[in-house]
Amino acid sequence: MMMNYILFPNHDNAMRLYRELRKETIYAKIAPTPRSASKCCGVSLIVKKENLRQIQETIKGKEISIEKIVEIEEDINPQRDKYC
Amino acid sequence: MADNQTMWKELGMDLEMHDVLCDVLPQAFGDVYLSQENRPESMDFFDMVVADIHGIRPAELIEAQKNGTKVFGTFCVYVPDEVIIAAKGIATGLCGGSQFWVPGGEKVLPTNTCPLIKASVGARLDRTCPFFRIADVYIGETTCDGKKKAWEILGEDVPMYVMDLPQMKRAKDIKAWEEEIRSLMEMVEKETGNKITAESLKKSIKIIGDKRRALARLYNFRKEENVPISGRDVLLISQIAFYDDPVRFATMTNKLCDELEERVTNGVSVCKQGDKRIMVTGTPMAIPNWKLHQLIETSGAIVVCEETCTGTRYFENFVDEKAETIDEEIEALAERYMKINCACFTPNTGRIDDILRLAKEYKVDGIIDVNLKFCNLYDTEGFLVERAMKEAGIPVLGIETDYTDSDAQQLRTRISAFIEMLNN
Amino acid sequence: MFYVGIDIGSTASKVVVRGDLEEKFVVPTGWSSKETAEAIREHLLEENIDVRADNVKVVATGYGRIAVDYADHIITEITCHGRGGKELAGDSCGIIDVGGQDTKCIILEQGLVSDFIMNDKCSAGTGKFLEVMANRLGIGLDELFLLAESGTVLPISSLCTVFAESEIISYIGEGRKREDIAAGIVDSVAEKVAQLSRKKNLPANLILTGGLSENDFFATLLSRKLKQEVKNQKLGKYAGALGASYLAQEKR
Repeated sequence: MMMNYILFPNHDNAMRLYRELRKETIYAKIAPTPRSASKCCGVSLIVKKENLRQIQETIKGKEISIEKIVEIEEDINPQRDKYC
Repeated sequence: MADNQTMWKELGMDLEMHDVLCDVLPQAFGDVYLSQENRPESMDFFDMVVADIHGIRPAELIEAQKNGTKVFGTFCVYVPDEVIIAAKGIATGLCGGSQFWVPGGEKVLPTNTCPLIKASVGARLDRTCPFFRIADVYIGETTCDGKKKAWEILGEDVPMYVMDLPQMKRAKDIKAWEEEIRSLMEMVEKETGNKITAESLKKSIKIIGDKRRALARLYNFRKEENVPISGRDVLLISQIAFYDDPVRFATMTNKLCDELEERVTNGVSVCKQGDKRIMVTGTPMAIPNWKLHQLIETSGAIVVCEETCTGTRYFENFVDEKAETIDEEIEALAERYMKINCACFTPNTGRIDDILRLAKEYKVDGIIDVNLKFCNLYDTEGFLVERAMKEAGIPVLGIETDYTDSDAQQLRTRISAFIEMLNN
Repeated sequence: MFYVGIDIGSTASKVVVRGDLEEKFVVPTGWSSKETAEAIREHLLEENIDVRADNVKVVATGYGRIAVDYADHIITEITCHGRGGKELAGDSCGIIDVGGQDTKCIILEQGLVSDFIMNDKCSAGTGKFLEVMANRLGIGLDELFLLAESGTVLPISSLCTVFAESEIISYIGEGRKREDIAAGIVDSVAEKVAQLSRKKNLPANLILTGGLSENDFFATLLSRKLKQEVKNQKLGKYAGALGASYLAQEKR
């Protein structure tokens, strides 16, 4: 499954966008940044591809700084039993 | 978030090794948390904290240190945060909950040491956790032999202060703990340069009291027929309680509770009808140890209570806030802390009473008594706990595990079988 | 109707069919539980039992149970062994199952599992241990038991398979009799199984299931250690699959 992550320069921007998206009832989930996207365990948002255009507008309109938007092949498997 | 890398470097961390940990967290978090449906919206704060676990809070602590604040690292629910806060210090939990840190600990500790101790020592010596780098002083305690000796090894690398916890609960033991709290006050005052007054202690007792009340309120919702929050979510909150700012933590937890209150009114449940209600008893689960909860909650059951140090033992009982003089306050602190029922005490029948009471309060269908491998105290006490539960007619499954993934399949079989048994 | 119970164990997979056809068979579990499940499906198809058809109900159990993607229900080996034990020994009994990877003791009250215990990750006290040690002596399992019957027990003190193996190597080095070493090996497994079982309140009615259930010698040894009779079952290795087939019939 391809997942879309939005990466930010800091968590404040991540949370600002998160709250805006929730207000607009656009799907967004807070998640740690995958290392393949950035060498840091920072806050990123998982969003849906079909909402990306709308999200870009919110980012512009609310002057939220983002680092980049990346698409990563990833799956969520509650029975995987790989912990950290 | 490039500034994290800079911060970690300045902390003298082993970045290359730390990357390995950063690598596994996103997938584990996804599997355990993002896989859940219908989570409360107000989990967003806690998700944020864990998503940048080595970024946000460490940066705050470093900022505070720049302004002269001292940070004290602790490893046990007996160490009174109130004392640290009263001297304008910051307390942060330092228990390691990841296998990632274990090999580092095994370099200096016997293999048959509990994973929590090994991970804690490894996190320090391998320089792979910012919290272990930041803390100015570590405060240990004498809750078990493994820890006592580990402090001596850690003490060669970092300033280490040890509180001597009595192992019985006679009046003179409570008195002795009072004395230990006084000694701790002296150390903290010296380190911070701030005097603890009746007034500052009163304030900090209230701060920590509010935090405990928030947790108690949160746990109360799990007693509902329709459980509005998963055990995994509550576990995450409890784990974060150990190192977040206590005032903010209480605020965010209460905000979540407001949402849960609404859920209860609307009969919202995070589990299916007929899911079995499980209480986990035994050894603590330090962050990011989510294994057992994940196994249980993906096998047809929900965890409704943890009788552990990352559960009820952390927040139950309050310090008497009516205490006015400093002596009264210290006495009230000693009394509250000595009510915690840890397996390091003998006898420890109070713990069995607690478990029986909690089983009723949370309407549990069964108990999973978990022991971190090589924790001799809880392992031995497990015999008494299991026998008492059986006598009370409460099904109980005893499990021993560590931080590795290698026993997950076997645990899944046991836990599923236990739940099938409860379904009969 | 056909009620199929499939027990994918770590070494052998057992299948019991009940209903319009009564059948049971064993296939070795190869490298892949998935392939084993597929082989079983094909075998059943030869008997005109189509696992996906409406008149066939399948319950999968055992260590590889998840691999049986055509199962109607997946149930743990504890519950299935309990159900199988009920057929073999009645509503109230204790079931000691020595498997290739796990050893378990299950207590049945009024036909339902009321308590159970399983060994830890460690393989001491399982079929695996016997296999490793027989290999070390260069013999098969049957021969190991034959030798053991005529030998005098050499004590093996290590709790761990790996360490126990080095003890055995020392015995071989010392030129001890193979019979005595074999007796030591079998005795140590029986002792581990007994130790695990003693942790539970064992009922008088006690049976042995799993791969060793056909072995009279092992059952006698275990009885002696537990100071009560442990009846070995000719159908013991099918207990899990048998229970699974009953559950296939009963589970809605």
